Amino acid sequence: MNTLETKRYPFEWKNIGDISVGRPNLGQYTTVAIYRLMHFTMRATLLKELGEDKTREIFQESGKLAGIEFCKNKLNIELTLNDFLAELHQKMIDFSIGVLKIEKADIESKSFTLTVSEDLDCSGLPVYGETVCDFDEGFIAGIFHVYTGKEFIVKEIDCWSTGDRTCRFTVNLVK
Amino acid sequence: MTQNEKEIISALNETLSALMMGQTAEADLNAQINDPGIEPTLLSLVNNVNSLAFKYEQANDFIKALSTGDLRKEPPARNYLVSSFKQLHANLLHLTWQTQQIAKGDYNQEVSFMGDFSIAFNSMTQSLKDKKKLDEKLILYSKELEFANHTKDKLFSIISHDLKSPFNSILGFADLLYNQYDDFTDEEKKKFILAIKESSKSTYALVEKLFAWSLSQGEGIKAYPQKINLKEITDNKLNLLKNIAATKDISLINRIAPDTFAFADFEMISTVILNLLNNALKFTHKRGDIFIDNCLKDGFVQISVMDNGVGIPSSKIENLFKVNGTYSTLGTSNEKGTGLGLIICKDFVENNSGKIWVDSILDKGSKFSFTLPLV
Repeated sequence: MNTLETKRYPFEWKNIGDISVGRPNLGQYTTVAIYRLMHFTMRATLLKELGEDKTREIFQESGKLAGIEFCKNKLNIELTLNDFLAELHQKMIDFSIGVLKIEKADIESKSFTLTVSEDLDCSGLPVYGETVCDFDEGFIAGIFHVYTGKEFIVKEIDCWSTGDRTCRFTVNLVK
Repeated sequence: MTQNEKEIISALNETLSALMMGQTAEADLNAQINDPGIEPTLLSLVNNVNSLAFKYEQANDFIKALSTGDLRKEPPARNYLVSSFKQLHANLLHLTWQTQQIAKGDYNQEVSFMGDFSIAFNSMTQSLKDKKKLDEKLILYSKELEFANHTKDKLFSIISHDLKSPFNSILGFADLLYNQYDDFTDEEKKKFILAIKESSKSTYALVEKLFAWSLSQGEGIKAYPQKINLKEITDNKLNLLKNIAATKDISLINRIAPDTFAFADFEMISTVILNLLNNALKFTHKRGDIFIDNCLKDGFVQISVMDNGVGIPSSKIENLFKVNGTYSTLGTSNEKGTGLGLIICKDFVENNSGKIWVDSILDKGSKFSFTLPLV
């Protein structure tokens, strides 16, 4: 995870626009296939143009930006940790991002192990032998950053594309 | 097929048969696969079967640990044979964490997408939540019961002390007059009749206060606020007390402004003012002074009764307005009390959305203040 100081990006949640105005008939939803079509074609192009390391870095940074905006606009950071995680769990189901579960939580050292099953990015993918959820790594780091005010390193250690049926992430404080 | 190739295939067959029986053993074919003439496809097959045997052994170790509930065993990395078991392992770790949170008192934990287990687990946490609410209600009822018991004890204590003793003198003097009427002078008879009258009066006052207070503890008392003139009420009560004040040569001064109004129950506030003035008279020495004054504070009218009497020890102030507080004390002329007057004042003031408190310095005097809403 890129630990460089986050620059000010020209993106805020409001840039998503008013979907109910723009799509009065088709509504708020599309399919996972269409989401992945955009995501993986973009990934493939970036890999070709910039190489693997830069591609991962870009997806992590954009994931972090998404996590920051998601947390600011959709989550209540005044909640206790357990209540916050419960709200995050429910919101991730509501938005069909995935099913978040906590395996380990060390409150003092602020280190966690999380799993996300039925992940939007990877569940059902063929086995590539490598993790692909760089965007999710950033997304989780962004959410924890807004909630705690601190920087986190998030690393995916298991993924559907490594043959596991759930994505597992370690979340640790940047020292 | 060469002899070497036949040996290789036979060894691989044995390995695969062993795997099917749940046994793990890699085919030891080092000698055979080092043959430079070996077919690459066959070499690849040997490597794959051995890799399968290795991963099978890894998977077996992990699944065995999982089956005994040992969740500390890390799943083998990049072993596709255990993919579903890793998901199970992740779910069990999450359930363990959730159960630990419930043990710490977080009954909001819920399990999603695990079929019957979700239903059972979520029912359990809901029952725990309901039980917690019930326990909290029980604690509340227990406190209310304790308070009610204190109230009852206070009543019985007052009845046994203050209600019975005046009857001693009432009955005693009545008895004397009845049995020995002609033996006493007119002066003596007047004294006995006065004693009966005084005892009857104080007993009647106690019964009135007991009644008012016991009503306020139940659902019986309710304030009926209206616009009341505090100066007029105070003048009326001072008039009632002027004879008692005269016996101790105490001056009573009403400094409440003529147009001082409040929105409160007339009878309740009359009782409060009378009680506070009575107390002031009781605890002020001869030739002392009692003032009653008003001011505006934070949107309320504040009435204060000030005396330069004996004051109250700071250790007693905290319990002054409490049912289970200390019992009453004698006045500067040995006037007796019930211990109920201030408790009634507090109830009545609070029923009218006000507050009551005291500032006092021992041997200097006391200032009892209460607030009422403005009209």
